[in-house]
Amino acid sequence: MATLLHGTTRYRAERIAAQGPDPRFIERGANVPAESFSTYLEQGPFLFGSPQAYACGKAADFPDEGGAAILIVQVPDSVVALAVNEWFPLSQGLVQFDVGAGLEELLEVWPALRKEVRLVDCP
Amino acid sequence: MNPPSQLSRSLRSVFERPGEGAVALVDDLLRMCPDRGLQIHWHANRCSVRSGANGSEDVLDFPLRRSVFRAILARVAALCNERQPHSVSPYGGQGELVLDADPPAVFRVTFQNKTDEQRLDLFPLSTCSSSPSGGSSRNC
Repeated sequence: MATLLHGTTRYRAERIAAQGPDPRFIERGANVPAESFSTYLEQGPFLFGSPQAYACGKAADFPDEGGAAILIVQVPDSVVALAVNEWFPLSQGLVQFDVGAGLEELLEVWPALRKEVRLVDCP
Repeated sequence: MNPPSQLSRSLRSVFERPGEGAVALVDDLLRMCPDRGLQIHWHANRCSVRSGANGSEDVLDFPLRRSVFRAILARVAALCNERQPHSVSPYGGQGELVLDADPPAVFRVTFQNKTDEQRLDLFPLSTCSSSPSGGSSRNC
C-alpha cells in the first residue's frame, strides 16, 4: 500500500473521500472539468510544491469551502503503478491519476480504501 | 542564441523523449530558453511555444496531455518558491527562479496554472557570477 496525499479545501476533501475523485468536477468559475487527480507520496519528495501549499492556495481561492485540508488515502501499489509513466516516475513523488493511466482503476477500488481528511493551518 | 529551427528541433526532442519526467523536462526547457524568452500556452490538448517580442515567433505546436503541462507549471512554481518562499501560489503568479547549472542562470517567470488556463512566460534575466563585474552576470 502507498499513502497518498491530496491538498484541497475541506469541502472537496470530504466529498472526494465519500464519492471518489470526479474527473467531471467543474470548479466554480471554470468551464472545463478537472479530468485527473493529482496526489503525492506521503514521504515525498515534493518537487512540485507541498500538498499543504496546494490546500492553502485552493482554500484562499475558495474561502467558503471550509478551509484547507489534506485528503490522505491508502492505495494499493498495483493501482499506483498504473499512474507511473515516462512523465511521472515515482521518484518525482507525484502520482498523477489520469483517464487511461490509473484513474478508472482507482475509482473501482475507492470505496474500500482507507481515507482520512486532515485540516491544515495556513500561514 | 539558437536560430528558430534549431530551437524548435531541440524542444521537440525534449517533449517527445521526456526520459526522466517532468522535473528534468523543466531543467531542459530552462537550458534551451533563448535570450528572447519563451511563451508556452496549452489549449485543447495542444501545447504551443512562441518566442520573441510579444510572442511574435512561432516555435513549435504539438499534442500534449494537460496533466503534463500542469506538472511543468507546478515545478516552475516550486522553483520560484525555493528561491523566494511564498513568492507565488501553485496556481499562478510572477517570480524568479534559478537554474542550477554552471554557471547558474536566473529567469523571470509569469504563469497561470488553473483549471481553465495554463500558460508560462519564461524570460532569462542573467547568468550568475561570483564576481559582480562581469557583463550581464550578477550574484544570485
